[in-house]
Amino acid sequence: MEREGNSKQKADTIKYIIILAVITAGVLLQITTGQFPYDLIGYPVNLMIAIALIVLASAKPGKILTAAGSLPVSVFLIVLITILTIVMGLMPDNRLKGSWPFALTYFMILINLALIVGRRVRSFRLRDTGFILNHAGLFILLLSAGLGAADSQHLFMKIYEGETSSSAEDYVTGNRVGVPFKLTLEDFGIEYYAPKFFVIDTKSGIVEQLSDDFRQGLNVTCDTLTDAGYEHEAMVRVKGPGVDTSGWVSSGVNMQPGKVLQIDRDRYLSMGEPQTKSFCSSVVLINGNDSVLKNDIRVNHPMRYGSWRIYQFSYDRQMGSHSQYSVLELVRDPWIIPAYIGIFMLLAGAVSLFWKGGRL
Amino acid sequence: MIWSEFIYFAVISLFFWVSAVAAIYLSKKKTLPNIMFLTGVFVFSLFIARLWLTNGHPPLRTMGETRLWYSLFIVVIGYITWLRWNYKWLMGYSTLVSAVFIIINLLKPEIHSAGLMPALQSPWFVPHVTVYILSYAMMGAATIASIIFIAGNGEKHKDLIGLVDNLVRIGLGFLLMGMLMGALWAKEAWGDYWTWDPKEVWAFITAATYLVYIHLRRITINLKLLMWIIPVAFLLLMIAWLGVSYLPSAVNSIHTY
Ligand code: HEM
Repeated sequence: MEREGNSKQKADTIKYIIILAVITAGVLLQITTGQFPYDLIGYPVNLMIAIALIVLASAKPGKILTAAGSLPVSVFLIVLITILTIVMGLMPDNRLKGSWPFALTYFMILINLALIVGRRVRSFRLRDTGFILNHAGLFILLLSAGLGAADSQHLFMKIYEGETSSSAEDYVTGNRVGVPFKLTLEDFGIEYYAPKFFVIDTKSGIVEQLSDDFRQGLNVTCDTLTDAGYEHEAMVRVKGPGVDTSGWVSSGVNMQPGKVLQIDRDRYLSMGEPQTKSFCSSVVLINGNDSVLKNDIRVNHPMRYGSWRIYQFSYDRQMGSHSQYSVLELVRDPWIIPAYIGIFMLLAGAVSLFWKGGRL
Repeated sequence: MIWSEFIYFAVISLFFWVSAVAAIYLSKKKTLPNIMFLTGVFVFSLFIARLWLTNGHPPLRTMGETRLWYSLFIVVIGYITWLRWNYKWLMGYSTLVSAVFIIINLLKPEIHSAGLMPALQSPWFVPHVTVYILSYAMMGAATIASIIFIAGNGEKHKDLIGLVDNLVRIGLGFLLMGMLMGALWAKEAWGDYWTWDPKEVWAFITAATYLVYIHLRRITINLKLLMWIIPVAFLLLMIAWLGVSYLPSAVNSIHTY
């Protein structure tokens, strides 16, 4: 069952010392220069690094590269990044993800992965497919997520109903940046789930929720449901044995009880706060002068335009569905396609793990 | 309403699946369970096909519809694993999970689409969560096996290692699928597939620890020491699943709803 423990590899502790030296250098750089300068690896530097790694992977490895791409080094590196991540997980902020030691460990994993994938590809046999999917997929994903993300842009566009904008605020720098299209917000709206109603019996002091199964013989129809900031109001009509009335009820604000509707002598109808169903910005995107795209941007339904995706982000919370503006998040990630390729290779690789099980 | 017919299809499919599980335990041959199982799959797929045709679009829009696929996939996965590894209990387990989802759909096909906050209204929601739950089950079983191994005297339990290896790999397969689907979902919902949110940080730690096991397995000779990784990893898994919201790092987590 056990593979032969390569005694030469074991005696060879120098590679661990090198890795620890790199981490130590990272700690020193962190102390002297602060966070890892992520902007510096933006295009074209990241592309050059990616090409260099692929060249490295295809080169015939000498002694050093063989050691750098060996399994014990992999394990050592995975343990290292795990320890760093545990530290990150315990810290209240996640500054560690942008630190030198983390970036250097990440980079060493990329080198190690490139080397082992290269080795397997050169001696490819069909049964290596799962291995390649997992390791090459992870390599591509880590490359796109780590290096490629330096090219990504996250912008926020606050836009009023009826207005048009073609600039947005950078999340990191706070600068206003132009975007290669114009957006007009036609409408912003919030949809709510049907509110829950309660019947308060003042004589018995019992409050009961009306559900589909339990309606106390009452039929409540809700005509208009509006919100003014936090308070929701509904025009309801209640029908039942000896009851036929209508009026406004409201959910109340911040523990303040809302409006209730008297149904009969002892009973009142009250309304719970309705749950949000969707936030929706209806926008028109104008590219140049001629091409016009209409779209409803909702949570989980971003609008796509080239390498841009536009997300529903925020609105005027005081005003609720009467908000005059919407805040959209504009994200551009030019490396998203390789990232997806990596993710789908890993998904296929996971299936192979499942299939191959413990047979090494 | 086509959903009102669901009960007939569901009861018939479940009958065949439960019979298939019973047949696995009772009969030595695999023919009977195979026939039973595939008949169940056929009946269940028939309902999905009918729903698809009447809808005019693939039934993937509502939560009830995604649960339908999940009920089907989960038994198919259990079945394939059984074919491959002969784990009888896994077939029983996946049939049980499928039954739970079928029952939810029977009681209220739409119950979960009412009240779901916008970020959770996604076709990824059901597979993402359930694949994780499957993984937890596998890793839980692996942890029990590893503790028996650690407590026992080596030789006698040699066969347990093979079981732990299998369970950890299958469990890790599910764990990685859960993470990757989560990443795809996050990209649709929030614009980034990975942000080192506390929940993501702990999911990463957990997966990396299981990776250490899988890779160390090929070079370590001291199996007993190695086996300790499994309970430790399971502890981390529990932190990722239940504990994250109690950590100081979680104050800004988007995952603590
Ligand atoms: C998605 C994550 C990963 C999975 C599922 C995975 C899975 C595996 C599996 C199943 C094997 C044994 C394959 C076989 O013998 O056919 C293996 C071997 C190996 N893995 Fe990974 N691994 C992952 C990530 C990594 C990472 C991050 C590294 C490096 C830092 C790495 C380095 C290695 C090495 C060096 C081997 C031995 C390769 C050889 O002997 O040629 N793996 N991995």
